[in-house]
Amino acid sequence: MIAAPPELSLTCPDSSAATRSSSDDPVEPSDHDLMLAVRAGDLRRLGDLFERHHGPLYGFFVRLTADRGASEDLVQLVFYRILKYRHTYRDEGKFSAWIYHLARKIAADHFNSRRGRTARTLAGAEEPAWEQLPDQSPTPDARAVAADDLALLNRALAALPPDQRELLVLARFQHLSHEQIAHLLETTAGAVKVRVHRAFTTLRDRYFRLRREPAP
Amino acid sequence: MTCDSIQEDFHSYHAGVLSPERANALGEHLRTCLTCQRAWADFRELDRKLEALPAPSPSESLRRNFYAMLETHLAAQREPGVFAPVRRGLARLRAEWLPSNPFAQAAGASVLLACGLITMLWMQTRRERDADLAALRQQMDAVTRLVAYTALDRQPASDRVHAVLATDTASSLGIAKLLRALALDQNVNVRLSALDTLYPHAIDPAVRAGVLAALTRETSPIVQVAMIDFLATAKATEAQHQFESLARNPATNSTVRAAATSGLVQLL
Repeated sequence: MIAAPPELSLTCPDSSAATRSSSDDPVEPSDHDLMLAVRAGDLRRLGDLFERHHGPLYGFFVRLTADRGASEDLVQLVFYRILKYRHTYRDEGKFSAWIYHLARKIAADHFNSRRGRTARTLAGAEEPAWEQLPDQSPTPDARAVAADDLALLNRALAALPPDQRELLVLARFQHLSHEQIAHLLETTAGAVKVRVHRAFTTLRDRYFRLRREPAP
Repeated sequence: MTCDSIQEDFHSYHAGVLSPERANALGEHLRTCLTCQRAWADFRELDRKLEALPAPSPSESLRRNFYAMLETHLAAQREPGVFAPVRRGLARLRAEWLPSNPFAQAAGASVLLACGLITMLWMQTRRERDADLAALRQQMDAVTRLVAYTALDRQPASDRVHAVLATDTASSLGIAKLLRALALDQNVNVRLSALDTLYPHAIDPAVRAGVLAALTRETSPIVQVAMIDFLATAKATEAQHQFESLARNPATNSTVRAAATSGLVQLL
């Protein structure tokens, strides 16, 4: 019998630091408070929200679209829509759910506008051949990139079906809880847990398969 | 617990959000299940690699563009239009009172639509009812007048005099009734009363024509004299020929002839 992995006894890593840092600080106002101020007309508070969220949002779009230039435009569009639709923000204290709700809509619009060229959408589109996806590694040498472990992981991630990739990005990179994702996708937390597990398993299989293949 | 359900909990356990009971069950299971031990090891390895993936960083132009956009909005906010307070009030009302849930919005819209339809039907019913009432009221008035005028013919002379004096001269029907009494009633007092009642309307050509027509048929000298005075006072020049005829006719009562002569003088 194999002993339980030592990680089991360790403290779990703080995977929600990015979201908690902005709202648990006793001095700093929470995202919700800032958004209420923006809604009330104090537009300068949107700058604070931008500083907190533009980085994670940018990562969200880059990992979804694999397009850094377009992702900056999409982040800008999210904050433009926050300004435009600030009066629709409710007092439910779910700013992260709201901002990712806007981000998902914007990403869907982005994919729809490019459907003719890329034939990719957030959900239901055909899975692209991962071998044809752009390699996101900054390393110029193709052989070195293919051999690089992280580059392989990036390629495996980019090759996931869009809906699975979005789930993993939300859960693993944006640190949204299963409940928050369930609210966003209008489903249950239990369903989200199962789908995240499946997406992670698919990623794992693809990554290990890539790793076993010889470098070109 | 099955291996699938155990592995589905890996993320929650790793994130520290798994309940203590399930975390203990997961630990117990892992101690005895080789498959899940391998899966956990793969999960941890992949998770470490995901953690090591460099987070994409936006360029500085994103921040620059954002603050430029924000400044634009702030500038627009500093110079509000004439209707800015109204817009702000409506926006606040919308934000605070209108539901954000699409189902609640649909329900609210349905309720408003139903209220609108009910109000429209109620107002339509009320309009029809008011129109019916107005028509009924007109019919009642007409019947009342008809009954009054009919009763006028069947009453004794004294009552007919009172009825003539009480006739509503504001309506054309009342005037016609008076002219009819003047021309056809057999009682002199009734005819004289009708003529007196018609005095306020002496300038009405229809009244003057009615009196002149009655004069040609009148046989009572006292009524004839009263009619001549009426027409002369009203400056009814159309009666000149009738006055001349009465004045020249030797068979006419002398008092009537004198009145006709006097009336001619007034007309000329």
